[in-house]
Amino acid sequence: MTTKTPPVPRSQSRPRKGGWESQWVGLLFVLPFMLGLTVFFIGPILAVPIMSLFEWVLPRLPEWTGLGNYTRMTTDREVTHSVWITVLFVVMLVPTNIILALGLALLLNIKTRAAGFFRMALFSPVVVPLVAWALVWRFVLQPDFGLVNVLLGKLGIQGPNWLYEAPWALIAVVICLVIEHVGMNMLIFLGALQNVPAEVHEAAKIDGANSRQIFFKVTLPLMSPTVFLTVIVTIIGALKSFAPIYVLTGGNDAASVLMVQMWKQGFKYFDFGYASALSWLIFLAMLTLTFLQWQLRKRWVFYES
Amino acid sequence: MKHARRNLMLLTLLSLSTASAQEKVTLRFTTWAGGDGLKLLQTLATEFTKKNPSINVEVESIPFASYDQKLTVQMAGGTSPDVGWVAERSAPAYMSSKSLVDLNPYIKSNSSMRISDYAPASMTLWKKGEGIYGLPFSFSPIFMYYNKDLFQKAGIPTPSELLAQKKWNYAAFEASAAAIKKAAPNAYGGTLLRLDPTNWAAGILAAMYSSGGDIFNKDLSSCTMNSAGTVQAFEMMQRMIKEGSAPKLGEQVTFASGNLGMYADQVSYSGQLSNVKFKWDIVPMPSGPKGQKTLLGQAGYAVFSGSKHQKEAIQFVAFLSSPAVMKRTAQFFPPPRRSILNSDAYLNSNPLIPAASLRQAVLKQVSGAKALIVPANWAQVNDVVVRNMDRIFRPSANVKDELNQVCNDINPLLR
Repeated sequence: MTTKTPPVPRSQSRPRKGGWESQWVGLLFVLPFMLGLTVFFIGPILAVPIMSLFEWVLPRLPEWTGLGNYTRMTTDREVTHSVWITVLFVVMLVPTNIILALGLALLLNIKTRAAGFFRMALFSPVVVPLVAWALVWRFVLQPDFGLVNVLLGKLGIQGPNWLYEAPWALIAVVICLVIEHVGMNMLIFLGALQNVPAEVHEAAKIDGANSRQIFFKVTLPLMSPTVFLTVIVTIIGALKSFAPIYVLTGGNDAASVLMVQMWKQGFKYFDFGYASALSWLIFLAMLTLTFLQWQLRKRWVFYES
Repeated sequence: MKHARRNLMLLTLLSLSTASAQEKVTLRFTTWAGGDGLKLLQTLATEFTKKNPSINVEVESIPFASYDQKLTVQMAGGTSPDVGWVAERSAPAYMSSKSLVDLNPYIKSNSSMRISDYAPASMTLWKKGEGIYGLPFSFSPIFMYYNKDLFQKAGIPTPSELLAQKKWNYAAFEASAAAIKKAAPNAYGGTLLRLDPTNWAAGILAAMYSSGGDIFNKDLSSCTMNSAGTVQAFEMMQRMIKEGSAPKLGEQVTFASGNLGMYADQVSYSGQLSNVKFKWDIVPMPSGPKGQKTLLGQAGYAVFSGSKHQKEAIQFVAFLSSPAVMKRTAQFFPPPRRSILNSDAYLNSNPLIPAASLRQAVLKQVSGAKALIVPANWAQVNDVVVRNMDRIFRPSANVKDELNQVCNDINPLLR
C-alpha cells in the first residue's frame, strides 16, 4: 500500500509482441474465470444488499420492506443471543489460536531431530476436510462413551455433555477449531521467525538482553507484520466458520453464532430477505474489525517493507 | 458437396430432435428414498414409460435432511420438479404457498382412483376445502423395536410377553430400560427420541398422546407443550436420561448397533436392520393413562405447481397410487389403501418382520393412531423445541417451567 518503489517503465512491464490479437487471446483465457467470478461471486455480493430490503420468504414473491429486516433484528431475541455468542466465540478463539501458534512456532524453531515430526503432526489437521474433522469430534465428545469423557472418567471426573450444554458447547467448538487451524498459523509464524536475522539476536545478546527481552523487544517486533496479518485472517475466519459448528452442535442455542443463525433463517425458514440482512451484519462486523486494526496497526506493527 | 451433406445431416438431426421433443415429455420425480426403495421407484418409472411411451420419468433422490431446502429453492428459481414425495410435516407449508396442484378434478373424473379405499385418517392432511393436494403412499405408525438379546441378558419379560399379559405400559417401559442398563452397563435400556434431536417429534409424541398431551390445540392456535400429559412424557425421558437408562442428547448410539434395548420408529427403519447380529422384534407403543395411542407418520405423492407437464405428472401419481403398484411399495411403507393394508399379502411383505408382529404393531395400532397436523411454519416451531431440548432434559431442570418457556416462544409463531 505504502510502498515507494520507483515506477517500472511501461515498455518493460508489457512486452508488445502480437498487438491486439494476442490481447484477445489473453482475454479469452481469462474469460471463463471472469464469468464464474461475476456470476457466482460478484453477482451475489451485489444482490445480497438489495435482497435484504425485501421481505422474501420462499417460495413466495419478494415484497418491499425497506429497512424492515434491520429493525426486526434489533428486537429478535435469537439474533441478539447470536451476536453475544459470536463475540464470545471470537474472543475465545482468536487469542487462543494466535498465542498457541506463536508458542508452538517458538518451540519448533529449536533445532532438534523431532522438530520435523512435530511440525507435520501439528500441521496435519489443517489438511483434513473440516466436516470430516467435525464428525470425528462429534464421536470423541459424546457424553457417555466419547473418548474425552471416558478418559475424564478414569481420572474420576464426570465430564459434561460437551456439545449440548452451555457453556461447554462453545468451549468444545473453540478447542476443536483451534486444533484444526493452529497448524497453519504456526507454520506462518515459523516462517517469520526464521526470517529474523541471527545477527540481530547476537547483537541483542552482546548488549546483555535476556531471552525474554530478546523475544519481546526484538523478535516479536520484527515479526509484527506477520502477526498483524494472521490476526486479521483468523478473526475473519472465525466470523465465517459455519460447517464445523453446524456439524458439531446442529446449531443449538449454546453455540449458535451469527453464521449459523443466517443459515437457519435462509435455508431452514427460507426467509431470504432476513438472512441477507443478517449476512450484511456479519459483513459489516468483519469490515469494521479489519478497518479498526488497520488503523491501530501503526501503533504496533513495525518494519513493514 | 461435403458442406451440403453436412448441412443435410444437421437438418435431419434437428428436425428429429424437435419432433421427439413435441412428443416426448420428461418428468422429474423427486424422492428421499435410498437403497432398495429407490430401486423400486426406478423400476416403477421404467414400467410407467413402457405403458406411456410419450412420458419419460427421471427419478431423482435427494437426502431427507436437505429435501425441502432443495425443492423450495428450485421452485423459487423456476426449476421445480414435476412430481415427487412430500413429507407430512412439510405439506402444510407447500399447501399454504400454493406449491401443490389440486388433484381432485382428476380424481373425480377417474373412476379407477377409488379414493374411498383410502383410510379417512390418511386423507385429512392432504385435503383443504374441496381440494386434494396429495395422495398418501405411507400410513406408518410409530411402534417399538426391541432387542431380544438384551432382554434375555437382563432376565426380564420381553415387551411382547408383557403385551400378552396386558402389562405393556410406560411404567413397564421405564422399568425394563432400567433393568437392561443394570445388566448391560455398556448399553442403554431404551429411548423415545431419535438420534438427530431435530427429529424429536416421533416416539415421544406417542407417550404424550397416551397421557393426554399434545403439541398444539385442535385448531393449531395455541401451544400445548406445557399441558400435563406432555410434561409427563418429557419428565419420563428426563428421568431415564438422568438414571442413564436412556442415552443423553448427542450420544451416537443407534438401535442397529445392538446397544439400545428399545427404540421407537416406523417400519421403514427395519431396512437398517437386515444385517444385525442380534435378535429383535416389534411391539405396539406402550399404553398410558389415556390408553394406547401412537403417532401416524405419513408421506404422499404430489404434483408441483411449477411443473410444465402437470397433466402427465398427475398420470404418474395415478399410476403410483394404483392398488397394483401400492401393493409393491407396501414392503417399505404401510399402505393407506385399506384393501391392501388388511390383506395377508401385505402382512407377509416384509422379509424382516414376522406377520404376527406386523399385525400387532401396525394393523392394530393404525386405528388409534393420530396424524401430526402442523402449521405452515413448522420449521420455526420445531426449532424452538430443538433449541430448548438440552435445557428440558438437564437433570436439575424443572420440566414444566422449561416447557412453559417453550410455549411462550411458540405462541407468537401461531398468530
